[in-house]
Amino acid sequence: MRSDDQSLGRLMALSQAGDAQAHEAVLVACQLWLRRFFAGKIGPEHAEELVQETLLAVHNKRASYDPGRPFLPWLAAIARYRWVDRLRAIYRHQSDVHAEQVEAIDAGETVVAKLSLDRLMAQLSDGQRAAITLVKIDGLSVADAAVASGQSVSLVKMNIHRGLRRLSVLVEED
Amino acid sequence: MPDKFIQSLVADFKPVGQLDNRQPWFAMAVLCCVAIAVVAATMGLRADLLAGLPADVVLLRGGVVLMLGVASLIAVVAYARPNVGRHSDGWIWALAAAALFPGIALLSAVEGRFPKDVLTAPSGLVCLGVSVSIAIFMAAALTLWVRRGATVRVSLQSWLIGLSGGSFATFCYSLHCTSTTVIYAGFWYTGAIAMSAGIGRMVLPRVLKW
Repeated sequence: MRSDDQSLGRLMALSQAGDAQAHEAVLVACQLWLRRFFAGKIGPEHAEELVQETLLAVHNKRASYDPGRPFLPWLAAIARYRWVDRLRAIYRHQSDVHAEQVEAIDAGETVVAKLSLDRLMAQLSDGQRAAITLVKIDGLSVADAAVASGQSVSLVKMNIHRGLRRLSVLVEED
Repeated sequence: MPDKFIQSLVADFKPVGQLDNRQPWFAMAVLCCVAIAVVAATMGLRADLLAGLPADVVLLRGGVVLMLGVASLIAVVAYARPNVGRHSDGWIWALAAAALFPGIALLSAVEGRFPKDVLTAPSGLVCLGVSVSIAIFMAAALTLWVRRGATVRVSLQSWLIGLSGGSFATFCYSLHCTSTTVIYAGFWYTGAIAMSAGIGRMVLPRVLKW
């Protein structure tokens, strides 16, 4: 199913008005959209949890959608907010994530591309992007990431810390 | 076929009213009226205002802080909803205009013309205390409304709520303030608004996070 902005916006407006079927339909469409959106941007074992967290946020915060405005920027803003929050939570708990190839984002969806997390990652320094990608998304240990990226262990740690902080700021600024 | 998670969300489904953008405006209008009434009852309003002939500087400072409150409230309302690529930057221009007051105070200090009695005036601390106290109520009302939305710019929103509350509160106090100098407003009004914004930035992020 390929959901377009207008139909999703209409469904959410119906959902706000109390149409349970529309609510279910919009959540199903959002679920598919979010799976593509987060693909490759977080360890696979965290991906479904992140999708569910974001769906819960969509459900709880649906009053904040303005039917007079496009739907996908609203959804993407929530998704990016939850994504950075999740990355930071993983960082705080020092969890390991494992590498696994996941479904690629459909390059044909221009709105997705425009709002993509890649654009945020591209604004990090090379060292920060490499450290976050290797440790938080590909699931390498800090020591392995240091070898792979040619950075020292302490530099990898610092780049993750500063990179995540920068991502939080970027999500707020964009 | 939706999965169990979505089914559980739908089972919990209830109609929701859209976030109403008029509510914070109404709340600020009511709180400003209440604050002005309290200031008038406890401290009194300026005689020139009551006579209908306010001094130019009173109109100027009141207008500038009121505009700053309005501009920052527009941003608070805009940023209460998640969105990518939507900016509300009018408050920056209002802040730049308001910065003329502390700018003039700073210039006078650099030139050695800063009147020392501005710093030691007892009314200065009253201005600060009353304005920040009123600002806390205003910021609390805005925070309650913003929490019904879903701000994704938590830090900026925290500043803006403090800035808006502080500006409206300072406007209310300015209707009593007996000073007629730009330097006094540049020092004490700026202090009150900056302190309100700073308190907002320190306190509100944990409240606004969702």
